[in-house]
Amino acid sequence: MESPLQYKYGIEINKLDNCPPADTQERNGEGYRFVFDEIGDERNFLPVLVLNPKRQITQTQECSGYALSFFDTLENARRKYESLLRSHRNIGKTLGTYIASGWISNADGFVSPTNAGGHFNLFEFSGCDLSATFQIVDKC
Amino acid sequence: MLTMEPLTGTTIDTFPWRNLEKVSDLICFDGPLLSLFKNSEGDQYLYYWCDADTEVNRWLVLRVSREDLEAYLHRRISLDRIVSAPGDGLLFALDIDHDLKIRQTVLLSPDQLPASYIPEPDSLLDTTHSVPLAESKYRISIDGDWELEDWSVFPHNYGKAYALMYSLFERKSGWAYHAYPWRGGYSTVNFYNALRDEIPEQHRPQVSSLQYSSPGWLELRLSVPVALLVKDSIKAYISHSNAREKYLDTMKELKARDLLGGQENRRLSVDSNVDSIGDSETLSEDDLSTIRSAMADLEKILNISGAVAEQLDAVTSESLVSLKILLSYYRIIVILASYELDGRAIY
Repeated sequence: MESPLQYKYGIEINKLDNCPPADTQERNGEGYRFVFDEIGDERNFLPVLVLNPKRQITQTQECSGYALSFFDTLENARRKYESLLRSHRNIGKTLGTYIASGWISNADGFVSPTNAGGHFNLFEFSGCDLSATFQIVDKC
Repeated sequence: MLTMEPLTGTTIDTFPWRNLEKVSDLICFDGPLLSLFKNSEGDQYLYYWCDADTEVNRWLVLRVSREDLEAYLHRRISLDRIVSAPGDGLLFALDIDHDLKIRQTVLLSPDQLPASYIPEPDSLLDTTHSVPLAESKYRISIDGDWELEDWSVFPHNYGKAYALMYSLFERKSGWAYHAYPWRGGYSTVNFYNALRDEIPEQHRPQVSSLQYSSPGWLELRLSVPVALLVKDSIKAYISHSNAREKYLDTMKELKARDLLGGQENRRLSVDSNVDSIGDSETLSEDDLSTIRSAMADLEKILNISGAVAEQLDAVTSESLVSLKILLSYYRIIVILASYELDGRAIY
């Protein structure tokens, strides 16, 4: 496990208990993420607690707020988006309306275990810049 | 340029529901999208994210009745029903900035909502592919005197109730429902152990904080929608004055029909592998009618309904097994309810 200070948001992460969680692990594989229509849009690869304005109601600082969400397959990403769109018709305004994919390697950070829906969180290391390697592959 | 929908309601100076306490996020993806709050009287409110621009996020805040919240959590009604028919017949649109300051408060009636703020008609709660709710907390108020044994009995039974509701709510594969013959205590113990083992680590109840005082609390980190299902069962049981009578009648009837323990297998067995025998091959029409009637009573007493009830039927594929599971759940709920009835816990 990397020292918290080697994470991109290490200062913030270091203030939280069990962050990143003990079960985060290395990953070498494809990842899929919701993005806005320009891959260089600065909102695309910022965690929720770093985005401005952040989509929060209370001051609670949760560990996952400093991670980026990904899916293991395009299908799982689409399925989640469809579900979110049913409950929130404007979801595209906060998550984007496209799906980008790219390779996530050990050098990019550690990831949480993938859940049943194919979702995992990436805790980026300092220097990680996925906007340089990810490409838009689909419209949501 | 990111812009928000124009609103036609009444702009007001102060948001009146300021002292709400967050209970849990119900829909969450890279931050909350639908969150449950409550006030000091226990009234429940929802914060529903609906829009954003470059300065603020917009949330609709509305009161939700216990019945509607229950129905939503049980997937009996969709989110559009709740948003378009709020508890007080009104809702507030809050524009909240990066520093969590309210920039604008607009009072709206449901018919003033822009179409894009109303969820789709099929917007049932979907946790199948949700991000883990590992960071959701649920607080049980505790009071009075707790003996050492209570700290074993209470979490043990709460864990079993949570495991069953989690399994049904999250539509788990259900191998545990077929793995045990339900012929007595051995089956029950192993069944709940198997259900517990199926819960992903991030959704297993963990003590987040505990204060033993009068009053105190036990705060758990778990899947809050599941905890609310357990709470619903406890409240429903308490409100049914004839629950015990119904339970005893059911047990008496099952015993009279040799349907308790393993006796049904001795009476009916043509094949020792009872799990492979469907109801129609093992039980008479009269037996089935009795079982279904008892199931209906217990589901009402325990407030098991909607998708959760359907999942129980689907996953066992045998009504007698479903009934035995409900009877065991009833016994667990009786224990948990006793803590509320004597003032030692409020769920």
